[in-house]
Amino acid sequence: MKSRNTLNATDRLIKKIFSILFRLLLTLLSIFIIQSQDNSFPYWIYYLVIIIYLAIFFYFFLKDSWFQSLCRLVNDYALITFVLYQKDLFLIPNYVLVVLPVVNAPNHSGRKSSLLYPILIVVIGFLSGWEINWDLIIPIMILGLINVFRHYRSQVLDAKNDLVNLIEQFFTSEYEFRKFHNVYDLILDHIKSIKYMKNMFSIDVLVCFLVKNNRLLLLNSSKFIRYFEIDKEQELIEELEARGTCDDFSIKLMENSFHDNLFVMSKDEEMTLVFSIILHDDSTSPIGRSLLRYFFKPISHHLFKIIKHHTKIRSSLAKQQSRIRKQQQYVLKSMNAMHYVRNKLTPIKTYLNLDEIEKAVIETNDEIIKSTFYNKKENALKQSKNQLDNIVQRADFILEKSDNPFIIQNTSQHKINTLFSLIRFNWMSFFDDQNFKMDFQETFPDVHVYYNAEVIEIVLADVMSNMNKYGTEPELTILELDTDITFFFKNRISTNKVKDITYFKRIAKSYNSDESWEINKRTTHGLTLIKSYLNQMSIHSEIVLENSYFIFKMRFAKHFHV
Amino acid sequence: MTKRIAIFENEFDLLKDAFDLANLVYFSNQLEFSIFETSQDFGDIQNVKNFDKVLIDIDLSAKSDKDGYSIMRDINQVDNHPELVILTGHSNIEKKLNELGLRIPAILKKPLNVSEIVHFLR
Repeated sequence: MKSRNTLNATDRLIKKIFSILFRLLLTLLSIFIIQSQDNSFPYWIYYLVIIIYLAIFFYFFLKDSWFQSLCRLVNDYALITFVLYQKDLFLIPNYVLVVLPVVNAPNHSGRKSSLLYPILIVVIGFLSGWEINWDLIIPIMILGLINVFRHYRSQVLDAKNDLVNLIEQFFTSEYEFRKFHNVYDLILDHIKSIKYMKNMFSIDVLVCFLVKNNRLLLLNSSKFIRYFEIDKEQELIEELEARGTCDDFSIKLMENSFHDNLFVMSKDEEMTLVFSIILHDDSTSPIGRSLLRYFFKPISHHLFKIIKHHTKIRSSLAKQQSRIRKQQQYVLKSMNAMHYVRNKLTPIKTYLNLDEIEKAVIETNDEIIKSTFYNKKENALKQSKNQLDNIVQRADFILEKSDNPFIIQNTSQHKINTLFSLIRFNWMSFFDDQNFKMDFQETFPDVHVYYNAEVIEIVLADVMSNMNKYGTEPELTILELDTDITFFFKNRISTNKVKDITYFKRIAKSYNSDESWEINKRTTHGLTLIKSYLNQMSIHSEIVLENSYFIFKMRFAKHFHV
Repeated sequence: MTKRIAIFENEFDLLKDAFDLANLVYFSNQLEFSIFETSQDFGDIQNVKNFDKVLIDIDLSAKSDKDGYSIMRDINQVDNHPELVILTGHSNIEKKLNELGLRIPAILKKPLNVSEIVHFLR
């Protein structure tokens, strides 16, 4: 609503400026006529009238009501009538003065357009002595017709702009992409509210198709459609590729066939969409079709941009979900592996129990039992060795790199500014202030750092989430040196009975110690993954405690482009 | 007197030594084990009355029509059925049994130990 009001205000301002310019022109032309032709009254009367005219104009200038704009129009013609009284209307400057308000009609800021022509006819009638002179009237009629066309054109433009604004408002307010089809209802309702459009065509359904592998796939529509059929689908796509729009293909939506349709294609290198406007009956006139085409081409382009943007978001979400699924599968495999291990441990446990059982065997004093027992003992040893091998093999399988989602497959180069923008973007999700201290060298514009974009976001989110949970006064310092750039994530530690300063010192010591990292990583409270990721990307990291501040450092090596 | 024990377990090879030692040393080979790798190997569930105890592994062979829970449910329908013992590596089996609305029987947790087997078979 705000942008619509802004546009209307801008439009009003422009019209006001044109209004002043028009009156200035009117005044200058009047002065020219007065000075260059014979007059019925003394000069001073004409100039007095001009002053009165301007005074009246400025009095009504800032007001926008119908009555006030009518007063401005009557004021204009009062001046024109007075200046041209008893003058030859066929002189060019005089004729121009008479029709000037007609030429200016598109800039009318009020509803006075409908009264312009009656007033003009009265003025011409009066100035020409009430004689009908077609040489005067016909050009004015033509000008009037031109204004009518211009008026309708601007109405269509306004309707289109209004609709674009409505669509933008729809997508900037809170909505779910699954309810995207509601925007079509918005479009249809808006079109129905425009009288002249309603009379020219009636839209039944709006459908959006995605073109994939030279086939049309239904994406969404204003009405639910279970299935559809288009005769000569390939020809339709080819025609749309060539011309952008076409309207002589039939479409069947479920049981109903529609012959009166307009198809509009919107595309770029990555995506092609076809919007189908299905009309209610077969009686849309050629003018109606042209209007529809003119109206819908920019609308479909607008919708295309929005759909493409959302497709990218969904694709990014899908990648994240895929990563989560891999991790879930890995956890499941690990759980299954533990279950497997449990099953395989029985022979080992049996072997370990044999001493105890042997005591019971000896007490029986039964030779058969004894000899059977010692055979079983040998077999138990063999079994336990076999199962131990099986368990180790399964552990290897779980830790195998290619299957482990916590192993980073690749890194890529990025500009330092890209990294900084990413950090700043993530920072805004956690903190209200951007307390950044920066020491950048600007002399190396082609400097890059290496990281995996997806993983670095996980690391940043983790680090900032911990900062938010365990501290206050968050601060980011960036220091760029000749060979590297370091980011210091700093905040004041919030201590309590459970997590006192000793706790954080222990965390820092565990994290920083590479020599005992393999031991400490069992108890590092989620930092395990962060350190593992950063190490894999060759990003040095460290935790520093300074007074009561907790500082997480990440150092990226700089790479220069030659 | 011979006791007949039905064991639903598809990896009995891993448990055989433990059961045999228990039988040999503590039951004087008086126990007769019948092993069923799948639910369908058992046949008519009413035949469960021919056994003195039934041991059921929850995760049976992939070829089995029913898992351990379903076999338990079937056996519980039989009047005067013998005592049930679950064999399992799941740590939270009691919670799962509650969720399924099954009465919680004796539970033998894997990896098995000869003395535990002796305790549950006595």
